[in-house]
Amino acid sequence: MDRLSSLPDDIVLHILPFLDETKSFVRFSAVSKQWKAHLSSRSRDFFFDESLSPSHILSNPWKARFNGILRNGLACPSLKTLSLNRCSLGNIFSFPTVTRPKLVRLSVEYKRPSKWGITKISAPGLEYFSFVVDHSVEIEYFPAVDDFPSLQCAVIDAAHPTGRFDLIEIIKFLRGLHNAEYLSLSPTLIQALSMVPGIIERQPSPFARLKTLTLLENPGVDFLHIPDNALVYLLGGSTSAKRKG
Amino acid sequence: MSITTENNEKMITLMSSDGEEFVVEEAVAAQSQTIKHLIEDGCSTEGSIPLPNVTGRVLSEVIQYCKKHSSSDDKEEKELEAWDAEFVKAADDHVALTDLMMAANFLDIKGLLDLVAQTLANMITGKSPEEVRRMWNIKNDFTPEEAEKVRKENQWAFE
Repeated sequence: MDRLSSLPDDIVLHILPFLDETKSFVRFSAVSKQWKAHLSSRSRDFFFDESLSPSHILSNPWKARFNGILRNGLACPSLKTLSLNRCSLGNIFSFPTVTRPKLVRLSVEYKRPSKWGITKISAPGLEYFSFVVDHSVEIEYFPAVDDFPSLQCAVIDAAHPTGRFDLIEIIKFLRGLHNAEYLSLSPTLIQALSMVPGIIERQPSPFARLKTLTLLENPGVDFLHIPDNALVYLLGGSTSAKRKG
Repeated sequence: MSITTENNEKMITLMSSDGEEFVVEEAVAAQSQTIKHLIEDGCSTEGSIPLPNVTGRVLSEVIQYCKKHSSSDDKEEKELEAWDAEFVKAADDHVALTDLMMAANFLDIKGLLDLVAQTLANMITGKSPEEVRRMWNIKNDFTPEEAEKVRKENQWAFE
């Protein structure tokens, strides 16, 4: 039997863009170093990053999607993965609303102070949602998220350590993520939640399906203990939750 | 070597790595960008075009695909899609598909490459990293610590 001793790079690179299922896409970073390198470097191709120019985009299925984004703003209806990375969003597109029926992965990373771009996200197929705001940036509001019925994993690192933010905004935002099974939160966000006594105690816990809560690391923030009220609020709705980190 | 048929179609001879010869119409062979360039450079006038990376078994499948796709026009798109689906089904398993894909890559036949890539992607969707490694004999070159780290980073996708 002519089993292959190795799979050439060309072939791996052609297969990966055709993977539709987010879980497979992520999981296959564990196949080998070659696959991991391709998945992480290739996944940059989905990223909209101001420091990247389209000439970095080589592979055709991705190129088509990327050009689609450039040409029509975000009008590409079949977009499945979108990463808005280090963007001062207003400079490139004006899209207050992200509405993508087929979007399964969305990452927003926001590193520069500028007027916040996204006000509303609607993506019924979303499975993975990451929302990261650099700690030097104070955001005035969180985007309104529609119910994500398919959501599995959410990573939220978005509260300025000393920033003024509206607790009700955060609660509303977390409520939109209520289907998450795997949730990663930054210590600053948890601090923000528990800072004003008497508010989250009166809120029902939004997460009914939560399996794992992971505490992210924030540089410079020494945070060993999740306040009880935040713990009850985050884990109270789920019977199978366990905490990590 | 170039022969001309009754319909005035120029014929091209392709030779596989194991020495098998295939005589096909130029329009069929030119579905492959690699062969097309070789023809343009005049390589087809002296004997057959050698394809050292492609075995006869795989080449005959590739030619089947090229014949179908050079004889169909855009109006038959639906029918062609159905034909493509049957075609990859007949390739049977991932080893045959990978051989086909390597040939499509070498011969630069974009339609075939995408078709097989999509089929293989569908095939591995939902599989574990270990299953994917077994399929292609891929060596797990992570140290146990690295493997654990990758797993941890993407925990949610493993469960």
